[in-house]
Amino acid sequence: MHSSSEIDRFILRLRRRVRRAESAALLALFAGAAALTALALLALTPAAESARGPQLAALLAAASWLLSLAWSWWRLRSRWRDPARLVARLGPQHRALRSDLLSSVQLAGAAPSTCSPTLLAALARQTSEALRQLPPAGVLTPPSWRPAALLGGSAALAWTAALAWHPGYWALAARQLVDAVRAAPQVARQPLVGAVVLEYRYPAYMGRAVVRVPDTTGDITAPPGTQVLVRATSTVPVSHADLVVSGGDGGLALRQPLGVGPHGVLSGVLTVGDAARYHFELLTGGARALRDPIERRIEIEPDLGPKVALVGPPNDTAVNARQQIELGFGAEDDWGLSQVRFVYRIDTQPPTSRTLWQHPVIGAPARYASGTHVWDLGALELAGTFTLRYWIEATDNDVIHGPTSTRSSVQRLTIVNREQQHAQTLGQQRQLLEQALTLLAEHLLLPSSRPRSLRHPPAPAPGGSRLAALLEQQTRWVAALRALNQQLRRDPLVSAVVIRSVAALVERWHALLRSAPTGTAAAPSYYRRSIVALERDTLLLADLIDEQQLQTLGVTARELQSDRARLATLIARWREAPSPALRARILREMERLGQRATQLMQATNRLHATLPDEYLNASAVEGLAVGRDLEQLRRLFHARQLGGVEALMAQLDGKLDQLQRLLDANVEQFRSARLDERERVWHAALGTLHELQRQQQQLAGATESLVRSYRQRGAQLLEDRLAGLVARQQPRAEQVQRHLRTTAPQRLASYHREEIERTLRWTGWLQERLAAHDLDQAAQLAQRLADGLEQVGADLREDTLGDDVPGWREPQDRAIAHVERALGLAQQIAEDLEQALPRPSTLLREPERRQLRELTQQQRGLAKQAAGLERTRDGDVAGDLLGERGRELLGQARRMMRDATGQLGGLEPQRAHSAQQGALQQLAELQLLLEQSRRPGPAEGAGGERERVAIPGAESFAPPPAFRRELLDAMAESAPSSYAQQVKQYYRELVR
Amino acid sequence: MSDRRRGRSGWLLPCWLLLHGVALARLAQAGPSSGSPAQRALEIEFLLAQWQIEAAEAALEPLLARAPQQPEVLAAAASVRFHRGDHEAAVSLFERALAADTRHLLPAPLRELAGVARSTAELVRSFVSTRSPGGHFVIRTSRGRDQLLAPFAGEALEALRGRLARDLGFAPDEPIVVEFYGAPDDLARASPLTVDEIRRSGTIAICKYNRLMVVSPAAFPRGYPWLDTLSHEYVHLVLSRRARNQLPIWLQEGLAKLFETRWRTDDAAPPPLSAVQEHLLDQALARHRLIGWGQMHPSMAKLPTQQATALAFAQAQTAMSFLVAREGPTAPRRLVEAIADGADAWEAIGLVAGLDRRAFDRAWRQYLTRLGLRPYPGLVPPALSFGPEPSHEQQIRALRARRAQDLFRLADMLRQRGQRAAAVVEYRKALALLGGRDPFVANALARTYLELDAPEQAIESLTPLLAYYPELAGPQTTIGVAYLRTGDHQAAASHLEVALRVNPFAPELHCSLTQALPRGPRRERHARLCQQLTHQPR
Repeated sequence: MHSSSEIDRFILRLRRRVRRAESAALLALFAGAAALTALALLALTPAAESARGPQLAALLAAASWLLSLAWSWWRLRSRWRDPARLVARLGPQHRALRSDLLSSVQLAGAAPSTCSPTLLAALARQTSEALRQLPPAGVLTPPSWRPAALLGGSAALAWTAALAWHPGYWALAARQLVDAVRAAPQVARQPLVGAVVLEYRYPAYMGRAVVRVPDTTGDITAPPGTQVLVRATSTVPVSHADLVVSGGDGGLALRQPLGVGPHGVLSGVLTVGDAARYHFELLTGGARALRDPIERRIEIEPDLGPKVALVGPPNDTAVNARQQIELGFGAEDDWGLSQVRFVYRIDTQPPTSRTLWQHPVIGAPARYASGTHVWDLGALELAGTFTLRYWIEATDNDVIHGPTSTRSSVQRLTIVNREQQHAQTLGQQRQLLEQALTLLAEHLLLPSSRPRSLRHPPAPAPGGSRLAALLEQQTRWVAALRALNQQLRRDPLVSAVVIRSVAALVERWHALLRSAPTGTAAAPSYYRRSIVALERDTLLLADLIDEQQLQTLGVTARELQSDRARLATLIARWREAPSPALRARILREMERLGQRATQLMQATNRLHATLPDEYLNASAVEGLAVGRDLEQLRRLFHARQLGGVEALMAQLDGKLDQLQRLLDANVEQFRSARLDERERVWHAALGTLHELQRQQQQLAGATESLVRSYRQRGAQLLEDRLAGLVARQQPRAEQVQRHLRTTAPQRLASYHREEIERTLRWTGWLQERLAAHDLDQAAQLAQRLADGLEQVGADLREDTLGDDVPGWREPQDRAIAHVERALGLAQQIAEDLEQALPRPSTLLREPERRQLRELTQQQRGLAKQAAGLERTRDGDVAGDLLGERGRELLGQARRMMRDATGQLGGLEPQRAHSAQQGALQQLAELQLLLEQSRRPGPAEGAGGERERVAIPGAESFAPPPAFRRELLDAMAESAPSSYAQQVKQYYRELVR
Repeated sequence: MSDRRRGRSGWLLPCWLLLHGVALARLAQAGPSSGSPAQRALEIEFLLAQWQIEAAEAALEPLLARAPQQPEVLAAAASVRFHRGDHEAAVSLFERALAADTRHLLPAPLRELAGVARSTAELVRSFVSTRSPGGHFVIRTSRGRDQLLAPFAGEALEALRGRLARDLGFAPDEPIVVEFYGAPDDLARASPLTVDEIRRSGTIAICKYNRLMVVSPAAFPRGYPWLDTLSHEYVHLVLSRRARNQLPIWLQEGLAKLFETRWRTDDAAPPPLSAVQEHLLDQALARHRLIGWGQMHPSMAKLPTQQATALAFAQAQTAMSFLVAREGPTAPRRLVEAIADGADAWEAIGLVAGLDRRAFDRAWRQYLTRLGLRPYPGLVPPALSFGPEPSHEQQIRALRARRAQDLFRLADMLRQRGQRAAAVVEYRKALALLGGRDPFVANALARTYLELDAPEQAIESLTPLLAYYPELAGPQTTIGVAYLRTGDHQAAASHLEVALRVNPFAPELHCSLTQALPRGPRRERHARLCQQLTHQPR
């Protein structure tokens, strides 16, 4: 039927259209999903531990896509075959037509009995007429593109973002994925490449030159970021070559195409990232993919973090809040430093840092940095007790993986408020005094201890329990004394003489306790002795407390003076260059000065309760009106009257001097009155010492004159031989000079440098004396030169600290060789001159020999007198006057005196003179020791509180070049023992 | 404390006057006195030198009428006014005299006197004057603390005046001026003495220019027996006036010592010797080292040492005591009258006692031996200390044994901490080392006993000290307080009054006397003083 065929054609066209549209939508949907899946796959690929994972994932993804696509398409196809379902796709605006068409289709397929054929034909006709008017393209409800659009849009967005973030990453991932799924090439049995040449181009920040390594195995060792130009020669004809990099344990491969040059030269650039392996893959002329069997390594030369060392005071050194701490630092990095910072932390507060060294923006990388830093604790304005932790941080210039910072060991300082600490010590002493008084009272009230002269009825001796109780009390008191002894040693404001007094007190009480009776029969005698001891020692404790309190006033006055000096400096700076910061600092200093002056007055007033005014002179102190002057100073400064400020500062200086003298006089007066016995012994000892020095000086002078006179005679005797003798020595001296100069001292540690320069000076003097025909002096200089050279040689030989440092040993060994040759020459000169000079025994005349005998006797007598000084003890009160160090000095002086005695007796006055000078030096040191023993601890005098805590060889912490050599200077100096361990520790770190 | 130093200097003027007086006497013998005004003026000065104040005044009146502008006359008038204690008038007259003396005829001693008058006037210009109860004394003191001296001084002097009028037969009719100076240096301003002389000789009071000049006990850290001293000077004044200044020094001093305590007791018996006097006399007798009467001339202060001076005073006193013991209580009066009538000292003694010089000396020495003098072991004659009160620390350091100083300090420390019983032990040890009689330590010990409520022990610890040195205000006060605590008010009052005679400024003294004395005006007076001194800033 015509109409039916029309309808059938329509249906057919409709089917085609629907199929196309829905297939496209389906494909678009799957494409979007595939894109997202591929993105996910690529994202995970680089992290995959092996190629298997991505391979499998890709296969699975592909398979699932295909299956889903097939199934979806089959489902759609069944829909397309069903005309009724097709007709249902007509759009809603053709509802009537859709209904007619559907009826036509359905009725056409139905049994004839269900519908009239005529009616059916009419419906068909009508429907076909309608269809004739419509193109099938216009009647379709288009498939929904929304899901596809959504997926596609999401995929597009995701891909855009991913590529924008890190395009290289995706490229690498894609390559890796492709390589993973591609079929592996065949591994050749023989090496496919040879003559591998590597050319390293290091990252710019390292400042390393390009290194070319020909004929290498191909193993690469380089820091990350290094570009390695790989060149190899293929052993087979090759059309394409790749350098395939794989991570450790068979990780994903990275394929770097290589250029193929003539004669099979392959070249390419590889950028070192992480440790990996690589091999060559070739595509031969026959399109055969071959893999070189050799796996070559890529090893990372890490950019190590810097090494850093800090040299400072020993850990837990107690300092005061105004001191300046000298620190030394050294840092070294394999490829370059960018910054060195000093970091400190006060208790638990957040750390604060300060840049000590910064690499300039332009310039070659700096591998070393060293220097010193003076840390002004005063700027922290701390009041109280704090623990400071500090360290050095060095940062390298690694731009590949980012800068690495390394920290030195953390050091600690304890800020101790000396005054607070001393106040605690004094408090402890006062407690002991109170205990002593209580103990004394108990002893005095014992019946058996009362003197018989008092008219009291005799009472029975105390019972055993009473004895035991008192002994226990005594023992406790002595234990407290011992604790006090320890505390006194830690207090910087306690003088040596106080410490010794208390130590002697402890000793005496130990002896007394040891003599305590076990039975009651001897108790009365023991109690009486205890009372005598308590009476004496209670007063001693009281007097020592008062003495210290008076001395503390003097310390405060000295601090006032140093504060004033500092303020004067600041004001001078203000005159030159005023600034708000400086002004603020000046005002702070004035405030501090005022507080200290107030503190002094308050302390003086407090002492009135316990000390008579004879020793305080409170009215005189108050009369100086220092506080008023400071107030006036502040007003003048606020009013910017600088002239007035400076005039008042000068006046204040005078007043503070006066104050100091007054307070010192108070202490002296107190000592004369209350500690007169100790003072008497001290002054006597000092007097004896002065007398010893005077006599020794006289003897040394007499000896020296004697030496001079016979030497002159000796020189006269030699006059005819002089010219020849001198002529022989001069070239030797010149050779010594040449050898010393050849040691290249500028390449040695500064300590050695100084020694060599000193010997060079002596050589110069020697030459001068030879030229002046002064054989006597020349002989002495030659001997001294020889001794000095011997010492220099020994020092150089012993200096093995730099042995691990490249280039360190060679100049040192050369210097040793030259010094040894110079030594030989100097010894020859000394020997020749000594031999040429007549012996003293031949030159001395009888009067001179007599004089020598007298001098010998006098020197012997003096040595015995010195022994008397060693026996000086302040009875039971002050104990050991000299102390261990004093006895040591005196012992050395006596030894030298005895040496001098022997040398004088042996007709060697010149050597005797040296010994006498040595003895004088020891006595001078002893005098200083004695004088200082009565003063509070260190840090006296102007700037005392601000005394710098120095490190050895601090001047050596100059900017490098030779970082280690500079640091070694610190080792070479004779560091105080407290620093030695620090310095050694540092060096151990450095050479690790 | 040693015997008091009294200055008899200013001898230049009397010597000068004496010479002129001799000349004038010769002139007077030649005929009726019709001399020039200058001569008349000289006569007046001579009368003043002989302490004939009324006669000088009487002679002055017509002279002033006759030659009122003559410098000598004006000077004589000034001297008379000065001797009457009218310093301002004296200064004014001296100035007129000096202005009128264009020919410099006035002698140097008068010019010096003018200077003394001027400085005295300046010194006392701001003083307060108080009349004694009987009106016979005008007592001048500076304002303030010294004003409390006036009533005690007035009472003592009035009592003494009456008794001397009876025992010596003379008492000045006109009010006698008494001046209390605040410092020894002020005495130098008001007298011809220099500061050095005052300090060296220990002079603290002078009777001169017809008045009594006394340094206030407040000028000395521990005071001094000021009432006895004041009385002593008044006796000098009476003797000088009665005998026209003819008594030799030793006799003056002997009589003054004899009568100086008469203000507080009417007992005609000679006053007992103090421990110091007894000790010195005993030692001098044993060693034959008594001081000759002639050595005491012209002044006791001229003797070489304080001990010698103290011995001299003791000798003089016992000489008069001997006379009284031998010839009765009227002996001093007869002696003075004889000398006033023109006899010299030894003639007068001969008249009164029937002994020549040698016999007197012998008899007196026997008298001394009969007195039963004994030495006082460890006695150290106290010295008058000038200057500010020593601090506690200075007093400790003044203890002569170092161990005693240490024990004292320990005792102080124990006492401050309430360990008084232990402090007592240490104080006692210190005191024993010092011979048991150190005032500083003994007083501290006694005070500690009082703090322990043990007044008997306090008394016991001070008794040996006060037996040697009764004139210590501090220990006397302490022992007085101790007696009060025991309930023995009479003994307390006795000791406290001794303290009052030495140092009347301690508040505790008056407060304790208020408790010790029976009801009456004296008690009330001390109560007022207790209140006043307690609240007065030192």
